[in-house]
Amino acid sequence: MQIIFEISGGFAPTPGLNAPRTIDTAAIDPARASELESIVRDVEFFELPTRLNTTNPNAADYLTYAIKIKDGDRVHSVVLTDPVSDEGLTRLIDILRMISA
Amino acid sequence: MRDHRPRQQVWSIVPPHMLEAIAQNGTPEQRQMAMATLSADLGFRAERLVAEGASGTSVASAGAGSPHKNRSVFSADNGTSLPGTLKRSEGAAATGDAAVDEAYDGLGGTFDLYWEVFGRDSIDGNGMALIATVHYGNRYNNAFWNGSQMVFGDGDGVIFNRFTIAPDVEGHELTHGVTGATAGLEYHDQPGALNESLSDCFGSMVKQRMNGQTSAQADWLIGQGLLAAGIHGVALRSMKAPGTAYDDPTLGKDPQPDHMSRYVNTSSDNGGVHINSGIPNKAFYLVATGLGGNSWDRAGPIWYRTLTGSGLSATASFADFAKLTADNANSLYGSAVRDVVVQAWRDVGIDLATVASWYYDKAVLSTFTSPHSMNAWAYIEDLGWRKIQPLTPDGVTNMFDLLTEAQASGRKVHVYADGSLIYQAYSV
Repeated sequence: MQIIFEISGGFAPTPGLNAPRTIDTAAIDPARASELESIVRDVEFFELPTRLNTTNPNAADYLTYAIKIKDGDRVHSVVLTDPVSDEGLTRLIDILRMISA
Repeated sequence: MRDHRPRQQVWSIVPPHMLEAIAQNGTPEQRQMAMATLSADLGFRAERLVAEGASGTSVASAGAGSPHKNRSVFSADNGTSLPGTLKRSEGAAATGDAAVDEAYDGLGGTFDLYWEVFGRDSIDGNGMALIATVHYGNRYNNAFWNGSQMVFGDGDGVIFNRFTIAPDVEGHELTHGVTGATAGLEYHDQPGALNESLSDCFGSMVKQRMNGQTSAQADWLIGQGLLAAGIHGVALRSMKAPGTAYDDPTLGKDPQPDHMSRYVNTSSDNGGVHINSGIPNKAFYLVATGLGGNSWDRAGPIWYRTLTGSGLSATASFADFAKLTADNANSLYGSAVRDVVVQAWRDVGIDLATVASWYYDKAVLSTFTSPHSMNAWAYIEDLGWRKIQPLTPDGVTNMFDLLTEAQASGRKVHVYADGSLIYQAYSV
């Protein structure tokens, strides 16, 4: 499974942290890869709408996450913004953020 | 797999001040119940008040009535549910939790600036409760305004420290609420960069006022102390010298421009709202230091009137905003201060002499024609001398006659002019 993860916006967008990161689950710690694949399955990532939530028109400084996952012949992209209320997606973003750091 | 859970409904007949008393003085069970009710109720109230603000209700007049400082700081306990658990309400003692107490103090400094300097009673001008949530998320590297309240992460400790550490961040986030309740600047491209810049300007004034610093003494940094040890940088942004706040292998280099010639055209960051805000930020710094004294003495009121006045549209460009600041400088403090404002914008690449606008109900104070009547000028109230150069083919003579007649009769005119020319004129 290949994951392309990009963070943009926020109070402090910086060029170094906002570049897209590519994560290949075959190239990371197997336990972490298994956890990632499990979360992707649990949140039914490939069934999610491409734009998950909308922001309040008066909101500002929120982070936007773009996640694109390729798994076999399946490819799907999802964009979502803070605040993310779903626990599975929050965990997915946390792990992607940690791996990308 | 969307979250389809219904919003939790909260019904409470106990007034908030009683709940607060119970939360502080009741039995453990009473306190827990009162705090849970307050948490839910305040979140609900914040959404309602923001909705009211968005519909244009209530902007206080300066100094009218009594202020309603009502701060509530919650903790998300490293989760993402908002507002979380109430940790400190208005008047309560410090908790010893640095994030809670910094947020409380930062909200207080922000409220005080808006009330004591601008006569504005909180975000909506009508005493809206100030709500902040700290300890949001897991090592969360951000602070944001969700349209109803402020939210602060703890930072990962590697790149960022906790986001409550700098009072200008609290001032920044709260000002997004003020902008939402007033001009409603759209959050993209130039209006978005103005939205961001206004938050930096007022956030910086909050910090300078809390520190008792004049414009000359201030560091004009946004987010000082936010970068973790080992990161090469002094802050997240510099209003004094945009583009110089950090240069680090992890973060990259501060991308803010300080001049229109370096304006960054990009689709990321909603069209570079945090990037191009460096240009109006620098203009505000130049005005404040050019005028001397405290930033909130004259520069602040000019910017505040521009933000809250009726002339600023939600889609305003930098030039639109700059012109309004010059007009407000003139009406508040006279032409010498206006000149400082015009020069500041010129220094960042926005020449107000080239921005044409309608000016309404102005007196014609004098007129003049060159020999053979080839060229003509008029002296318009608040504008000064302008050369008559009609857009329509009916010539200079017709407009000159109109303006001369208006001068003689004392009738006011509407003129469409820039810094040197009058293009259209109508007698009122």
